[in-house]
Amino acid sequence: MTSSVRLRRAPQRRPWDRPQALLAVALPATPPLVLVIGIIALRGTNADDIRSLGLVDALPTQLYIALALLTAAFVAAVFSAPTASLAPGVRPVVLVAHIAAFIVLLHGAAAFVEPLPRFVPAWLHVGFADYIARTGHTLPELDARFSWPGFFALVAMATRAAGLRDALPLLAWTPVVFNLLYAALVYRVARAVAGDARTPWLAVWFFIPANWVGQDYFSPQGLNYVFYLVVLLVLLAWFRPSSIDRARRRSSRRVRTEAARGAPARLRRSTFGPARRAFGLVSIPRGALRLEAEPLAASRTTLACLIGVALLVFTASTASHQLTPTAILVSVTMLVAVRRCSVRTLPVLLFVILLGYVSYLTVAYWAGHLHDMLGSVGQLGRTVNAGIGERTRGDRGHLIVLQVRQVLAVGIWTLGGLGAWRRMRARRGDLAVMALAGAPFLLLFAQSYGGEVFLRIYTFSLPFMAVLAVGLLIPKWPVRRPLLAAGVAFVLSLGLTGAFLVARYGNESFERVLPGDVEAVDWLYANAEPGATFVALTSNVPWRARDIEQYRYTPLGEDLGPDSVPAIEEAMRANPRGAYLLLTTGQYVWGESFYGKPPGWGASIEHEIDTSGHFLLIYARHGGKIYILRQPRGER
Amino acid sequence: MAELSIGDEERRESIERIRLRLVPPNDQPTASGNDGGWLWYWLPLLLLLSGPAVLVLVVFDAPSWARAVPVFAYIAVVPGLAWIRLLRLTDRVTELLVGIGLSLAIGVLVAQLMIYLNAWTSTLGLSMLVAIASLPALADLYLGPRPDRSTARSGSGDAS
Repeated sequence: MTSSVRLRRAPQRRPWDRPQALLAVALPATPPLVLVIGIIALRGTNADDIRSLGLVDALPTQLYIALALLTAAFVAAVFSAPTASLAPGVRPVVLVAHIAAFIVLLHGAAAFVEPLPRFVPAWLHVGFADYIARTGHTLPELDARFSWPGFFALVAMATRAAGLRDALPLLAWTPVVFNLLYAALVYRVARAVAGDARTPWLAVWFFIPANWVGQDYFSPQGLNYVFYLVVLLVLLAWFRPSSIDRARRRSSRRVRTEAARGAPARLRRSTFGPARRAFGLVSIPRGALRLEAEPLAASRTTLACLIGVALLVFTASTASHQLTPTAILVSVTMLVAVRRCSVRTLPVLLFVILLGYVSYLTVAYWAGHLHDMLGSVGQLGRTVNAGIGERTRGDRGHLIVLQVRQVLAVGIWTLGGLGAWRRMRARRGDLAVMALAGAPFLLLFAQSYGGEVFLRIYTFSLPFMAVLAVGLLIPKWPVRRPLLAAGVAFVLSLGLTGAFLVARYGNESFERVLPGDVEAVDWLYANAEPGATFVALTSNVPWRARDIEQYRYTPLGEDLGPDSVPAIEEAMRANPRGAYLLLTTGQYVWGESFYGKPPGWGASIEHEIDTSGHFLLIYARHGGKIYILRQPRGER
Repeated sequence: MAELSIGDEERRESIERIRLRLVPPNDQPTASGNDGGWLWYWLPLLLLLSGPAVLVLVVFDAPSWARAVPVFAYIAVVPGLAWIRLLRLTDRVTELLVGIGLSLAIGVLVAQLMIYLNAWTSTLGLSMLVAIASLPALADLYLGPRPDRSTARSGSGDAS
């Protein structure tokens, strides 16, 4: 009787039903609409409007509106229903479309605006891969990166098999492809550790704009970040201790403690009751970690195979990048130390692989650079100085960019810390995530990594910091004030997106590659005799993208070259097989913006060269000039 | 509020775990992630046949616009995915992601091996990848669809 009455009764109308119907129609339409608006806005942007603050100076308002609309739609979708799962109208594919559009507009912005792929080091990597593709060998004596040639070898094999002359066509869209992959991995990592349906989506949404560091360009570290996330995903998903294991360990520890102290812990603690209650407002309750997510169940064979996969991926990482294997090793060791990885011997295996590779296959590098590799171990002060102090230089715009980056990094770490605290207060703490968010900081004790160690620490901790940061909004579901949480998520996303555009593209004035510079370099390769030296004022030149072994380059590293007429002359005379002086706009902008050289610095050197009478101008087009030395009269 | 005893706390934790579906359904046989029937065969078949197809494009020097995407997609996805599929993971997203990571790792190691062996040709490298991928794809076809108990989903965050 009762059931029949229930059947006839009209379904109760819930307050969120109507917005959901609206969302079901509006949400699928938002990503394509925003993508069209954003791409039109970006394609209409003039790259010549890029000034001291980079791409932000040139971007039109429509792009910001499009990004705000996309963010609003995404946040509305995630928070649209108070149920444990997402609203029925919100299909995962729609959220994936939002994320894909977000990545294309943020990480592909420069590819739409600029006529050539950005970032000179990426062009250099094309040259490394080109050398391997042509010769089948490496050149460890030319560059340290050839001692870890895995990425370049893979690119060489893939591009030649694909019928491409070189990897240049891949450069512009590599950040988008890598970030799509990172986003999927971060989603899966977050799903492995979060107990609700919203945290993984929001973690990805925070991760995308927070990943401003720019290690996702065409580089070994871009690929190795995939390896890093895959190894940790495998460990987090399958090799965490189950709740039964943890309870068993807690129980045995309690028995040991009580036996040692002679009284039950609960009774002793209750004597501090009033103080505990006062402290309870901010304290972390007992059992803060007891509801950690369970590992995926798997047979022993499957687990053994998964460890094999992790070892193989780690080996590939060892063969293709200097720092990432160390970061993986540190993170895995940390997981084992906090008992969140059941394969206790894994760090030893990883260490043996790393040591074996470095000992036998990088001899050409470390034989002459042992101090570079090990000199800063334990030198915390020097590493911090190299990472912050020595990098704070340049013109006003560059200094603003550096400040935004520092604020963003500290902000993400703070949000992560607060999120971890809130999750523990809600008894949803996850020790594995906290350990992985903190483990990269141990790299500070390893080496300064050319002053880039803070960037790398930030990058390696970011996926886990993003998961923890979501905990600030959603420590557990349902939250007490969903509207407030949605509002904060929206504002936070907008703030991160704005900061991303400054932090990522703030250096675009010198990180973009100018067509005039490439034209001059092409002319040089077409006309210079092999064995000649190419001299420039700074290393910000898109050279070495081909024929790297056939010419000499000054400067070779990422620094300033000779910047006075006598010094330039000396550098050019050093090679009896001839030398070419290359002056390009990109070098002048780099010197002024990155090194803080006075405005007009490049033009004044150019004037000195023109009036010295020692140089003969042989090429001048679109801001690029090429000189050779005039022969002294007696030598004709 | 009186403090809960340890027993109470553990009981409450157990209830909470069941409520949140954090308890792994270890004892329930689950589908292997495959639909069963003839439709199941399309993916291992695709993994198996895509190798020779890509090799044909390379050997007969098809124009780069026709072979670039298939070659890159093959190298980045197929060898690792073919092996990972043998583990019968239930979560397709994880299977694909770990498969991509493994593919790229295999690609790196194969390419580097050719350098160390002084045997560098891109066609040889691709052939090695095809061989590496074909073996598990064949095994996958031979084993066929089957219910699998090995990789049941624990339930955390699966609500999406």
